[in-house]
Amino acid sequence: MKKLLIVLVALVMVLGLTGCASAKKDAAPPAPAKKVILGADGVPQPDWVYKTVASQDMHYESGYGKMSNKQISIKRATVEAKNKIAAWINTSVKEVIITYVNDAGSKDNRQAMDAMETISQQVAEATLSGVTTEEMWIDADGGVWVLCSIPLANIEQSFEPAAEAVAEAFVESDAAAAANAKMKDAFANLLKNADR
Amino acid sequence: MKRVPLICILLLSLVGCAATGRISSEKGEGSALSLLDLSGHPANVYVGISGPYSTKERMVEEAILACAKSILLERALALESTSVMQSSATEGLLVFAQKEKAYYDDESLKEVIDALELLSVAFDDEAGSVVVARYLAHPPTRRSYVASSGPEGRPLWLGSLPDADGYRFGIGSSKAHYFLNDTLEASDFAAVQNILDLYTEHAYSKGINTLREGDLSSMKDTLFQTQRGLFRGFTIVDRYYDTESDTYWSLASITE
Repeated sequence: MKKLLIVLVALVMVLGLTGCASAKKDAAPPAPAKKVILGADGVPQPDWVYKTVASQDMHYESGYGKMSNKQISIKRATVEAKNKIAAWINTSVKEVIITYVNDAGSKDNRQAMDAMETISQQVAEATLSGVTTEEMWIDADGGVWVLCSIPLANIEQSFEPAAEAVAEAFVESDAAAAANAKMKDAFANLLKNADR
Repeated sequence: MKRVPLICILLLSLVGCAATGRISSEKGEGSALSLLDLSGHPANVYVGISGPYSTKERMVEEAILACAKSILLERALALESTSVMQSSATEGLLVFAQKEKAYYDDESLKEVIDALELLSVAFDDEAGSVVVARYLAHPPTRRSYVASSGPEGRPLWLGSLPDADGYRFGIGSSKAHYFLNDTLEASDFAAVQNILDLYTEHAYSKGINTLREGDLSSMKDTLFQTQRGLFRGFTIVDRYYDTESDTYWSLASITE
């Protein structure tokens, strides 16, 4: 009987403690709710507006435009997205340093002033094929956001003529063909890794 | 009939006559414009409008030509669009210019006209002559999309583009021109260019970002982009006239 009483008391204590623990858990402050930004017609802002979208076979870029009407806004947004795709594929940077000499004054009061300026140009240039607008979202101010995609296979294809030309420049041999295949593989891997 | 050039340039003009849709407006209902609504007809029925001319005979002729032209546009339509944009860090957008062109092949215009069976001819002050005709060389098939309206009477496609397997859609608009047929041309052209913007077959893009650092620092972006596409199955699916803004809207579709 005494044994049974001890077991019962122990059981009550264990249950009591568990209850406390649960109560404590319930009392924890709730996680802050994610702020939902609503666009035109009450459509919530999609994630791709502020997050990079990645996939193994496609490259995605977003663009934004707000012009006098919806059609021109769409045009500007898609132009921007395509420019980003071009920049992702091919960008070159050129820097020029220019020194100006300004010789002012007269006779004994001559002052020579030197100034230096750096002009750097970043050129994003590419030929694109098969760019598709996957999504579109219009914000509350009427600004248009677009998410454009390009298949990675299409980008690889545009490099193929160059790869063929390189291969043809060498004497026809198994080694040249193998090198060409390796170059294509390397480029395909580069594209895959760049998107991660 | 004298053979016309293989490719005819349509600079900034397509055809309102490509209309195979309907006009939803207070203005259009009950008038000859309501004849533009072909949603009850199979896809091998086309409509053409002439705009006003001095004689009824001339109007009907022009409307038949417009009808045939819409069939040729449906067969193949080549588009080209060039945009130039320049902006600076201090002044924002400086330039956004665009040039758009469309080309179609009108070599077989006579054969197409010969294969037309006229279903109705009507007259309207704004539209001139409205001709509805069946193209006997095409089998009667279903249309790509039948438009429906929201609670306020505005078509649903104005909010978001329709989704139909095997088709791509685009929306265009135009303020009212002096002649209705010119307005519809402009609106249709904007709609098909919208498809080119959304689904680009080929594009060339060159962006130059110039950063000048020195006493007078500045940053300038210059962007040049050109794109082209060859579309098949171009059709104006639906139209809407917004009386408040005096704007005509077109919903265009092409086959994928």
